[in-house]
Amino acid sequence: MQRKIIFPILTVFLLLWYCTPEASAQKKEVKILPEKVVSKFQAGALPLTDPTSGVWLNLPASTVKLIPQDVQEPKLAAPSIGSIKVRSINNGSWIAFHIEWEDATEDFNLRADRYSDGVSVEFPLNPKQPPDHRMGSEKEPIHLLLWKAYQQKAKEGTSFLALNYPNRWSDYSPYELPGHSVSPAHAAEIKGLLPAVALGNPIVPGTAPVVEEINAETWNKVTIQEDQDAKGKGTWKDGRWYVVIARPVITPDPQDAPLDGGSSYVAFACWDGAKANQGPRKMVTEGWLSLEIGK
Amino acid sequence: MSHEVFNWQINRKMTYWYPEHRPGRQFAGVFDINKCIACQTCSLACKTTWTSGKGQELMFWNNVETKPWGGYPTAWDVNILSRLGPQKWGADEYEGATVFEAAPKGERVLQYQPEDGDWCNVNLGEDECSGIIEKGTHLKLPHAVWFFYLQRICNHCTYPACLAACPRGAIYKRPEDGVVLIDQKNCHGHRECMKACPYKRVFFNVVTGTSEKCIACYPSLESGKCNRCFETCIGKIRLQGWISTPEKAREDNPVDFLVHIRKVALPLYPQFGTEPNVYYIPPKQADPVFLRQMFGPGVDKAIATYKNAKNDPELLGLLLLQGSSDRVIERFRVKDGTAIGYTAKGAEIVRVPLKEPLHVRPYKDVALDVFRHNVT
Repeated sequence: MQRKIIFPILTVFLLLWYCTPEASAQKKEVKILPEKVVSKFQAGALPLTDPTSGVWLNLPASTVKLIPQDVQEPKLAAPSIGSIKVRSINNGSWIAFHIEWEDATEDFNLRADRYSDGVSVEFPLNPKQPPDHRMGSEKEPIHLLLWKAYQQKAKEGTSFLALNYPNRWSDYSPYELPGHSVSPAHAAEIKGLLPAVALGNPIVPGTAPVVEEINAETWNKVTIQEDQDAKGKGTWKDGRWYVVIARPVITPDPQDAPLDGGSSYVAFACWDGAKANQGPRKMVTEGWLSLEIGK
Repeated sequence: MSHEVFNWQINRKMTYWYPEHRPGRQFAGVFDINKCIACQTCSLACKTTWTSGKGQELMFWNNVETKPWGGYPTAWDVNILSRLGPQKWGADEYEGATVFEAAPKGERVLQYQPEDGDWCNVNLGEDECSGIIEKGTHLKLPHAVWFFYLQRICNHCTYPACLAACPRGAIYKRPEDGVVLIDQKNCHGHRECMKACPYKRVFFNVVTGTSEKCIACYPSLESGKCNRCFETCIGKIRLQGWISTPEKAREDNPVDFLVHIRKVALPLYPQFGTEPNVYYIPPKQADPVFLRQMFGPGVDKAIATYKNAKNDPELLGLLLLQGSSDRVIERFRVKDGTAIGYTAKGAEIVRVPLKEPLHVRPYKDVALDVFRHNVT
């Protein structure tokens, strides 16, 4: 009789605990979707910096559905980009993903109230035991290739200071007198005025690569890799983004997800700057998609 | 994640993203609003020390704004208060919701995003008084119209909303002094901190792509010296020190004395729930309803105590010690008409008389055979 009472009470208690925020933070959700992305083998050079090349657009595309990130606060309250088209090719040395999506505005500006468009491709570091596809799990990192429109613009020479405040006026540094070269000692002092630059923060616009290689092991354990090998480029045209993200298939870097086995998993995330998508406020795939790498 | 923590400023438990973890000691400041003339020496001292780099053009980690109309960024207080909505103070505790408890589903903190232009008008509303001065108006008490200056730096809150909101864990509170810092090496520029801080004390740098904020001049702090904005205040309105929780308050600790013993200095918008560590001696002549919203229900008593300072030698002495040294006064005592400031180890820093000695000279200077213009 006693067991009959205790068991349902215990079940209810466990169910209630499972719904608490503490429990949800510890939950690891691994979802493998039935869809797959096939990377077709194609010998020779790949058009890694030309997202509108016919090579891409003539490939068969997989339409991948995205949903708002709703696991970790801050969550994405309103959906933005509903789906992306994904294409992939490899030449044995490089594997490239071509991602295309509809976006009415090209958002690349960097300002207190402006957010950038972006897209990322993610792989599990251990394909035999994939972690949570969104930002990895404790001790089970993911390898993330992040392309952001503002980083590309900065790399192409855009100054967000000049872009946003064309009529600004400020004192020039006494070390940067017009017509005089800056000595190395003074250059260090100027750098010291920008703590993020002085400390080598890898996201500083202009210094960051167009595609950043990142490892994530849960939401607040994010490290930007020492070795940045990825390439890519994005082009916005007639209300659509066309972005290529590429990485070497085989690398000696233990922080890179292994792809030499010919198969793995892949996931995607997308940010719409016009809707203030940034950081965890993003659209994500519902789970991992199988990745087949043609040889 | 949601944890239950105790906030003494609202005298109740509340929810916060992380568990309660108070630092070994907590940096704090007391600003006497009544003494401020808005000369902006503090703002410029901070500006030239910390934010003269590229991308920091619109940043004032310290600013002085005119209330009721001024605000930097524009209308920061109106924006967050209107989102929080009408809330209620009970007899002993705050009964309303804090910015953590009022957070919508999927958010860590109730927040809003200022527009870029809001950072462009640092002294908007300067010296604008609360209402129209009618023809024939003459000075009377209480004042028919009023304004006062509000000096603002980061509050280095015990429960910082910026720290709670950072999705990358790039903000931390130093265990040795409670100073809240953004790790410039690991900030990813998501700006969640900027949106979450109800006081809007986090700024975005378009050159580095990171968020930046007041660092409480921690290099000075570490050597027992006052912060730049405290040290350079020509009105001597600022007192820097360390605050204890109420049950550990010491009578000889200047900040404890003003906040916990005499209760003459109050936190700004304690209802937000962040337990800010900058305290204000409220202005004597402003609308009490406005002041109760800003500083909580203790404001009327605080003003009465402040007005009575002339009969309270300890309070008067401490108010005179305020701003009298560039070193942090950690202990004080008033004896034989003199207020003396000490370090925590008891070394004397400074002494000031409660009454300046008065010497009156004769009108006629006999030696020079002239009359003096000034005899005191």
